[in-house]
Amino acid sequence: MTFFERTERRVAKLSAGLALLGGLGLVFATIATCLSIILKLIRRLLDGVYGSSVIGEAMPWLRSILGEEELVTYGVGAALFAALPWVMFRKGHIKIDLFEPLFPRRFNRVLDLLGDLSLAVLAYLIMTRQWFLIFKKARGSKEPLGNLILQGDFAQAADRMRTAQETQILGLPVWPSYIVAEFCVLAFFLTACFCVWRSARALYAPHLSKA
Amino acid sequence: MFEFLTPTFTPFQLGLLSFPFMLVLIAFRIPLAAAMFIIGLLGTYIVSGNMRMMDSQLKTFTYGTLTSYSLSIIPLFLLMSEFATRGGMSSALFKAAEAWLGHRRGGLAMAAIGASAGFGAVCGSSLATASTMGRVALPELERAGYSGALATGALAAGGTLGILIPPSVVLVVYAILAEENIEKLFTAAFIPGILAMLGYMVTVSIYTHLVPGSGNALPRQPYADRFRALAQVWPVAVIFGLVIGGIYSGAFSPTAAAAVGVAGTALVAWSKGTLTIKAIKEALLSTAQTSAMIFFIILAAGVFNSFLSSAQVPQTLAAFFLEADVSAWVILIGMLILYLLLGTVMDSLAMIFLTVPIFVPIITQLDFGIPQAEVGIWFGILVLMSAEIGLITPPVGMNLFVINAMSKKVSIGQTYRGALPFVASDIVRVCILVAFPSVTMVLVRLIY
Repeated sequence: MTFFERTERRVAKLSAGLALLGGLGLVFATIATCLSIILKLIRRLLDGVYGSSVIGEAMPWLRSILGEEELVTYGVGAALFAALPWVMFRKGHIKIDLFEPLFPRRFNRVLDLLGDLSLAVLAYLIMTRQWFLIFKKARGSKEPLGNLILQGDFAQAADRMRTAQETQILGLPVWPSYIVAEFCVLAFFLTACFCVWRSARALYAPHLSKA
Repeated sequence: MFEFLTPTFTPFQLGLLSFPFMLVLIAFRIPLAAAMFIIGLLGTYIVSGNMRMMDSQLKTFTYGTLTSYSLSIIPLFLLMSEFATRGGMSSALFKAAEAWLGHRRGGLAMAAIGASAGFGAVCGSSLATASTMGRVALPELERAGYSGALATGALAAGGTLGILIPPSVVLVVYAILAEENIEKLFTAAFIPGILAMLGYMVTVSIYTHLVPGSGNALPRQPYADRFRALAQVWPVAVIFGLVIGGIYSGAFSPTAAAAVGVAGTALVAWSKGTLTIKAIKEALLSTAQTSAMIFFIILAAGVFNSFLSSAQVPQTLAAFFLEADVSAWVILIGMLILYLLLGTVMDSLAMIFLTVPIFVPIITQLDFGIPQAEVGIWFGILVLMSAEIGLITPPVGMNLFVINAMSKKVSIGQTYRGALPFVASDIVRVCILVAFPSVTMVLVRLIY
């Protein structure tokens, strides 16, 4: 097995694994929504039978899940970020292949390379801009968490975790989701770099590649 | 680097110029998302002279788009479609439709269309509907001696019912781009979707009368068998009732309804024993691929559209058409013809992403004799219908390819010919919807 094939296998595993892990976010969002609806329905039913004040006192937890929308948002958001490397690896981005049969074979390989290269550049751009959410200091705001950890100021960092930006309803800290997002975009960038390699290889050594 | 451009062209001209450039990139097989992203970034750089605006937008834009509650509906509907295709609902639907329609001439093809419509009620994707129904119905149609052209044409056309009948992923994308209300769009799509199904059935009937022997009648089934077959489709009815009924009645938000749909289709697949770990993995991976693809285009479209509006393109064009002494109807028909032409070579989602941000500001300014608030909804349905025709117009029609690939006997030329009568039926329907906006809007007016 060549170095390329070993890398290809690793990238495939990484991107598929990440996409599946993210897919659990979708499953989580589904379960949270359905549970919330079921609880709400039961509450309404019991309210109808026993009166709302009785149930409200006896079973205060019996109502739609607080912050259900936030849970769905983060579950689905994780799934989407985690899917970015997978769609890149699978060449899933829409292309208009109308003229493909008209172009010479080698020219098509060049275009494949350019397409992958453009996506890799965009992945790099998104990754480095989004970095700001964790590391860069915005104008007039406090030192971000990532910098504090890098500087070794853990007391400040712990303080920041307590006072950091929170979600509106549940008051969950937002920073872990930034880290997850940035990690996924990093994986997206690495996968895109691999895809550039893959299409460059198809261009220069067509006898080695399958497609 | 591009300073020489700014004295020569106004921002509006640069904005217009970006279109040919983008079309060239797309024709040279650069992914649509990358093309829109790059042109959007370059355009903003040229118009504003620096990257500051893009830079600050990109910082939070990806995160904001991917973690938006209203957009969460897209992956959920896609996952619902995945589970629906694995739940064996398609064969129950086809058997029921066959029991009721099979004894007519061309009845089995009508049954395939009716079953596709039923499947479209739990599936928001056209390709998924076409491939699922094709797998079930195509062998039956071939066994019954139907002509290859009719069989593949009917199934390809039936597949479009997946997006015409709510829920529909394409309609969600339109709602995002046009900032329209998704509940109202789903409501408005209902009657036109039913019309589409009936129109296709009439087409089959006419076709089999004009081409004798293309679709034979099967023996008539007793009513007891018909009702027994119909009873088998209750899961579809229940899921559709929960999802769409829930949205229409306002019981839950569209996103929550989509989650309910996922649970419903998953339960059905589980009860049929098809929801294995392997099937779940496949469903999740397939959903991941399609939704990440769509969201990356949404991101790119956001960048591109912010360039266009900073270059004042939609506003200037809208003002131009408003002042020009051209009838609103001519503009509308021109746009729809453009969709029809683009649809022959382009993917329907790609078309919608490229055109809707420009067309909607123009259309909503014009007077069509219906309340201004309804124009965006009505136009959305027309766009959906016109874009969907592209799925079955040669030479590039995704549904035609999907169905044709399933049959060993039918050539792509036969499939092309078989699809044309259905394209004609589509065009007639779009004409009706253009001429009578009330057909689309009546349910919306009744409910909201």
